[in-house]
Amino acid sequence: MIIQCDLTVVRDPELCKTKGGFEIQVPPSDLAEQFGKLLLEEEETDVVFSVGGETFPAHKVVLAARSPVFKAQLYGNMKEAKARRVAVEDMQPGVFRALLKFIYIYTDALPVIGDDNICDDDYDEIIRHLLVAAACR
Amino acid sequence: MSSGGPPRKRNFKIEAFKNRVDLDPKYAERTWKVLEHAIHEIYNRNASGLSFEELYRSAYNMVLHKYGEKLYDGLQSTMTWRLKEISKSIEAAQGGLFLEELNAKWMDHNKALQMIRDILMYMDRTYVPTSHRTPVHELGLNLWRDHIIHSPMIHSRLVNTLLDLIKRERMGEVINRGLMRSITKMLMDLGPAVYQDDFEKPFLDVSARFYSVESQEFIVCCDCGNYLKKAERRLNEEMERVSHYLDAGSEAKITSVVEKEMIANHMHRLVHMENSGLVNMLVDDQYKDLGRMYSLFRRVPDGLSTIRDVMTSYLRETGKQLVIDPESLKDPVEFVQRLLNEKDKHDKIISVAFGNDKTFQNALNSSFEYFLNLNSRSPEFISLYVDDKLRKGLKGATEEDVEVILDKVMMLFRYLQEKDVFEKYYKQHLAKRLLSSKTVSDDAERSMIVKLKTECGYQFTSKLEGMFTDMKTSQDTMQDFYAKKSEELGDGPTLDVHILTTGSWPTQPSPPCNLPTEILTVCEKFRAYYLGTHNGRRLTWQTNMGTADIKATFGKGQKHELNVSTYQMCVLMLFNNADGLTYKDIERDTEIPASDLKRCLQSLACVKGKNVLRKEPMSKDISEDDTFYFNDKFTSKLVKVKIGTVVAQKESEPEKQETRQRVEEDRKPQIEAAIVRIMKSRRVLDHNSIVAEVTKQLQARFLPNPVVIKKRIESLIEREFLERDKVDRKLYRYLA
Repeated sequence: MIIQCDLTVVRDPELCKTKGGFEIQVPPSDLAEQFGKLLLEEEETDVVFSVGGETFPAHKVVLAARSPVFKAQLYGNMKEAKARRVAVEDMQPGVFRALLKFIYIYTDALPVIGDDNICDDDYDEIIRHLLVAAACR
Repeated sequence: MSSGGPPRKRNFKIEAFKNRVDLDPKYAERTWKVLEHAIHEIYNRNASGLSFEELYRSAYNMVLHKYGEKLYDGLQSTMTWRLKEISKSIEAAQGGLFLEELNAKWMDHNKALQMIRDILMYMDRTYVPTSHRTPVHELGLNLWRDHIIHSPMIHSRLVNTLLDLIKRERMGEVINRGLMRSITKMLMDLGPAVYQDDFEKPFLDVSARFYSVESQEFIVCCDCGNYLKKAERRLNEEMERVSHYLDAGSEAKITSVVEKEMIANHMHRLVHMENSGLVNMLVDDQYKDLGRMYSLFRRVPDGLSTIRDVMTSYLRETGKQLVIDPESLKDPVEFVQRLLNEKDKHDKIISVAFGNDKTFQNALNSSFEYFLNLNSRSPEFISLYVDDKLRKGLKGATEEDVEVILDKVMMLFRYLQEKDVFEKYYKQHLAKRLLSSKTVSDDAERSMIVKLKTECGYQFTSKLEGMFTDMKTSQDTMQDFYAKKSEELGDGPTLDVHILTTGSWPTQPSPPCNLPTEILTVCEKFRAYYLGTHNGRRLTWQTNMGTADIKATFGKGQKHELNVSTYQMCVLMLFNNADGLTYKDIERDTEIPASDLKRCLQSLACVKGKNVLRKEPMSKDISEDDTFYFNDKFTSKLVKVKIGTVVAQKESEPEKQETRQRVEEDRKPQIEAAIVRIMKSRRVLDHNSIVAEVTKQLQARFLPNPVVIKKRIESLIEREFLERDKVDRKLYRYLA
């Protein structure tokens, strides 16, 4: 009688694992700061709002992205969609400026009262308009 | 962040703004007029002149100052008014322009609705939720539904127009599918219920009537195959229509209508249609029509079972005719070949046309089992078919071919309910092949044995394998015999012995005949040799199963080598010492049994071209008054002449009965063994359960007869393996 044994040895693979630690460092986002700069320096604007005698250059795409009301106004079928100058009535310039800052920078904090010397009576109106804008998002 | 400008004084402006806030009784009315006018301008497609800022602010202020209800109600009444005007223009559309006008107005309405919703965004966000009113966009859709779609003048016309266009498309006309799609999408946008109630339901109803009428026409003028083609085409058309311009949810519903009207309602008439129905398709191997019938019938309840039932009936009837046809019984090989061809034919139909459907395979199997067992000779015929293949049919075939044919035979074998009968015949036929060296290859023989073992277990084939072992042992024994005894044997005749184990071979008791002296001498030498090396063995000569090669010289000196049976050899050797012998002389000198002797002499004296003997008087049959002479005038073109015994390829009726009897006798101990096995494990069991268990255990070999089982139980009781329960006569107890 002949007995044949086939022996197979199974061992762990000898591949070395690739060492980690090469993660790419992504810098913290400064998007708000950059958009704020965009607004402040009035570069590449494509629409100008006329509010209470003052003018506010702005960017349609930013406004549309941030507010469905502005989107409907600037990209809809009425005259503002084709106009470069849009008149805003029944609003104080300071309030509109605060609204733009809110849209571009988007901080959870409301504008500091000290800016533009807005008096106390106007503060409530600012709150109301900002809430309206936020609610329509 | 500061713009860097100097601070500015604004106190003087505060008073001016606060004055605006005062409620002005006419403010709301004036503001609403602005908005109302704008809505009309939007509908008049003059939106490009409007100021979104002004309108949005106006709506905002109205809601802010608690005029939301006025704003909402005003919107609703204004849109209602506009839609009623739109309704009139749609109604006024002439003929084919109706749908186009409807669609154009719908698109306008949607655009307007989008803009209106935008300027009233603040109302939608604040007033609508708190007052539980319908949102603006949804309100617009609802008003369109109520004043346009459900307008009495438009509704019926819309439905009828849509259905008419579909009807025309069914008749082969080309219609505007894009327009149809727009309209049906509109109905879906208004809500699934609108689509379903206002279009889908009437569509399905009209379709049912359409296909009911059409199918009645088709069924009269078309044959089955053509009808199914049309039905298939209609089904495909309806599915295509859904994909082009109906809602996807309609597909299952409309196909269900077509299936019911064109298939389900005519199913039985179709399969039984004269000259073109299912049976005709089966007979003529119409794979495409069969495949189409299968795929269509599968869509309806009982469709496949209808096909299966008809196919089963046809198979059973056809198969029954085949197995009971006296003509086909004449040639067992032809009989089995026809069955195999029938099986191949329907296997192909099932695989090509019926998608290898398991339920159809089962129907085919049960049909074959049904009719194959109608003929009690099927086991014998299958064995004869295998015998024919293994003798010569598979000569020159490749190993693969051998396997294919044997596998097919095994399929028939599986259908047999009396596999033990097959085994009995197979053993007989195998014995003849082995003993006459008439087998194409040992490998093929062993392959068959392996298949039988796989199918029925070792017990079934153990004796068959024993036969092969005997052949091998015999070969070795003869080699050893001649190696050791060559000097003693000298120039006598050469002997080749097959040593057959009792019980493995289908031998019958054979009275010994008188062998010629020359043969007897060498037989005795072999006997002495064999018994000298195997103590306790007993040798019995089976002279009815041997063959012999004889050299003969005839009148004019012609020499031939005759291949004859052992019996024939015994007869021929007598003529070395006599020119003429009577039947009685031969019978006395050889002691061959009468039936064998007559057959033997018939082969020697009555077969033209092989008649090495001459008989007087000349006739076709042997009688006991005949006289036989050596035929000096015998001639043949061949040097080797094979004189076969006139053997029946099939069993005669008495032989068949004898085989049956032996099978029945063999079944008794098997049934008893099964009963004892069952009772030993159960100890106590009732009569019906025993019958069921025994049947279950033995059905792989044969179906036991309940009456026979009962008798076996009685016999076991008599022999005290079992006893009846004292209280319940139907209960049996096992006795250790």
